[in-house]
Order: sequence, then C-alpha cells, then structure tokens
Amino acid sequence: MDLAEAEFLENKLLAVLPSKSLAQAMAYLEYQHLPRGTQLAAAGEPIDHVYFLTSGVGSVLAETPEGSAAEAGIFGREGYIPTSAVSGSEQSAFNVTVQIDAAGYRIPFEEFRRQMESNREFAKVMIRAIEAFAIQLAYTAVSNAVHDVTERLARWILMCHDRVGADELPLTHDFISTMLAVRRPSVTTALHVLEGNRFVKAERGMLTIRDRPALEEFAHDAYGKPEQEYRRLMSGLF
Amino acid sequence: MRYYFHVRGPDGFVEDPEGAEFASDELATEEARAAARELMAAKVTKGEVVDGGQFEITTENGQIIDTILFKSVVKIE
Repeated sequence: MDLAEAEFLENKLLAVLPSKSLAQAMAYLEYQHLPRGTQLAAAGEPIDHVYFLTSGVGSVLAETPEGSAAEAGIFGREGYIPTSAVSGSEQSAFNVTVQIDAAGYRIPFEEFRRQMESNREFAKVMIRAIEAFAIQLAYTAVSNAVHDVTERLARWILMCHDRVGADELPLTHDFISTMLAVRRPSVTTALHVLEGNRFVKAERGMLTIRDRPALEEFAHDAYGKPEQEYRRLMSGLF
Repeated sequence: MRYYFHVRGPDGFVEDPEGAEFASDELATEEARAAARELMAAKVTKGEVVDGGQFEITTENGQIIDTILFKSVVKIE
C-alpha cells in the first residue's frame, strides 16, 4: 500500500471497503482542502460532488422558508456528504457547510452514481452510512426534545471530539448557538457549567477537552447510542 | 457595533468572551431580553430558583449601556 492509499483510509467508509472495491473508486477521488465556511452542497441546488472527509467537521443545516435555521446533523471522517446522493437524486435537500477546517476526497456525482450501480461493496457501505446518519438525526431530535441545553452541549462537544480526534476544538459560541438552536447567552452559561466542572476549558474561539470520561458521564444518555449503532452497522460487513 | 452580554448572578460573574454585532443599542437590548426569556424558561423547566440574575450589556470598551434583570422579562399578568 502506498502513502496516497493510506490517506484514503483516514475516511472510515473508504477504510472499511475491501481493497478491490476501493481501487475501483479510487481513480475518481480527488483530494481537497476544505477550509471552514466551504459550502459542499446547497439546498435545492444540484450536487456536483460527493465528499469523504478525512479530517474536520461539517454540518447539515435545515432552513425554514422564512429563514430560521438549525443544525440537523454533523459529519466528519466517519461519513460521506451530501447523503441525498445515495438516492440518486441530483439535488441536495440541505445546506452542507464545513465548520471546522477539513480535508478529504471528492468524487463527481455522476461517478458516485456509477459506483453505486456497479460496485456492490461500495453501495453496501454507502447505504449503511446513510442508516447511521439517519440514526444520528433521530437521536438529535430526541435530544432536542428531552435534554437541557447543557446536556445537549456536552453531547455535541463529544460528537465533535470524536470527529476531530484532537482535544482542541476551534468552536465559537456563535457557531455552537446555531448548532444547538439556542441564543448565544444560553451557550455562554452552559459552557460556564461545563467549565466549572472542569470538563472543558473555553477560550475565545477555542474549546479544550480536559476530562472526556467525566463529560460523557455528564451527558449520560444524550450521548453514545448513535455511536454504538455506527459501530454495529460498520462491523462484519465483508 | 459589538456588544457583550455578561451575566451577573448569585453564582458570580460569567463573562461573554465573544460578543455579537448589533446595529444599535436598542437592537442589542432587544436580543438580551429575548435571551433572558430563554434562560428563564430553562430555569423554570428545571425547577430552579429564577430570581437574581441579570445581563450587563457592555460595549467593546467595557462601558455598560444597560442591565437587564432576568425576572423583568417574565410577564406574570
């Protein structure tokens, strides 16, 4: 295996593909740096490329016709985006934007479709991935309904931590408030609680994880189920 | 203009490290009131004491332009 191939494997979906199947898709994958703010897909617009991140975090934002928006889900190296592509639909249902500086591979939409039709293992993994993403979205809906802001913040920080893989997360209060669909001061006070418990350290634009096990304990049932389901869906595939 | 919504309450002072842009003092105050309602609603839901907290709205150079008592945004009648 050469170095370039090793880089592919930073994306967990590409990593789980049997090597013959990865080799078929590899020729069409193009490496991209995707700085924060890069729009990967726009609601109602055609999907040009499908992305497999190897680092960083993006979010899927759902917006009402009158312009209220809230995060529906986040993705990083564990998935692909836009998930609409798997249906064969050429149009993205959501705005998809990079929120923490990312890198990854993109494949033209048409080629993604061809792989879905001709590469059975590839299709199997993509369908598993959309099921995993649907589970994440469902648990976000549950969490929004039953958990308070501080617990939801803890859950969301853990989800970002899983995807970034480093203890320092470049997150502003403004961004977190959009993600949790609360006003900014609710983020400030919730972060104050997590800081007071010494789970995290918050500086301007930077959040540092200090005690992940304690943060998980605090989040209790707000965190863990979609992650467990993801592991189940992605194991024993081939 | 950038405004900061610091919280002063029974548990001490919580600094707003980032602030946010508003076109006028009035719009900043309006947002602070909406945020106070959200914070109060969360406290009520959790059965916590709602008395005591307030926002100190400051400008970039630290000048306090207004304080909003959290309980002042709750309409009892």
